Amino acid sequence: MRRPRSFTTRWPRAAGRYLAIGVAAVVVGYGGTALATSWTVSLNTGSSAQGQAPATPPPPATPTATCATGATVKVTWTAVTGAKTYTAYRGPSTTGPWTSIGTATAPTVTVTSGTLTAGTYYFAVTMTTNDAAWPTSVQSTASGSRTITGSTCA
Amino acid sequence: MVVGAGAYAATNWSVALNAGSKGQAQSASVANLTISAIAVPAAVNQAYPGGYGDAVLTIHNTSTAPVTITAVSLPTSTTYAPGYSNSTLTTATACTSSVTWRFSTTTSGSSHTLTTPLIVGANSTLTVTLINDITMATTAPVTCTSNYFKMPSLTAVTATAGAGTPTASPTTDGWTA
Repeated sequence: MRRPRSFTTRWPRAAGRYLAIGVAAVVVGYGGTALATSWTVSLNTGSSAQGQAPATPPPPATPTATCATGATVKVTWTAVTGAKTYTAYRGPSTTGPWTSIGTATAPTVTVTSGTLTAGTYYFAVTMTTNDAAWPTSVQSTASGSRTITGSTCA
Repeated sequence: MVVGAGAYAATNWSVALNAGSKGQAQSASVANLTISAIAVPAAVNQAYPGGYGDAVLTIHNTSTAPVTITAVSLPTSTTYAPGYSNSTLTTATACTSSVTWRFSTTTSGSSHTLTTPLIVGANSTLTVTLINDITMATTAPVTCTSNYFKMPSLTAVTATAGAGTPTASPTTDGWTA
């Protein structure tokens, strides 16, 4: 018969110190059988971990460009936690040059029929965060291409 | 760490703190565990306003036995990160006052189960990146950019006996609720 027991120890906090953990455990056996053990381990107030903030927020994921009715292209991407607005861009290659095609709060922009002249287009997106003072994010990598021919999209 | 007997048997471990306090071991001893913030490896996900970021740390076990950590206990959601200052890291007070642990609650010591238990080998150090377990408020100022910040102290961890093969270092882990 196994009967684990556990409890929490409460060590005095050590102000100004960190990185330490106090441990206590009790193991109780009954009837000569093997035992299980569990600890709840208290930490000093200064136990540490760290994070880092970027110089520029990370890019949204690569958008997806799909053909809608006629020569309309719908550009969508995965929503980013913390994003306030997105700006989508089009370009003639995966490296641009880029031209803004719209700003939205939802992760989708539709380029309506007639906006795009004949040619091949790639799409990318940036985001702003809720704090307007922060810089605009890094631009995403480019979507796959869509080709506009007359009134059709492929 | 395991005692079995024909009658009731008990074993206690009391472990000293690194700060210098002492504990007593009645029939065995377990040395300190130590958690340290580190800058390398760098966080893969860095925190930005309204977003999440990674915390990178080491867990050092000076015991002669491995330890399996299954959960962490967090300070309250209103306990923010202190600034961090040493020879390599900078301090940005306005920034750190907007950073806390993700999924922390108003209750200090709220326990959060790790996605994967961490086994720290005897006399070993395990480097862990806690993925997206830092949250930065939407109001975080631009002074946060390019800065490090020290996270508030964890209040406890939960460990179990019966450790297996130590987790390979470095590793990633975290809690999702």
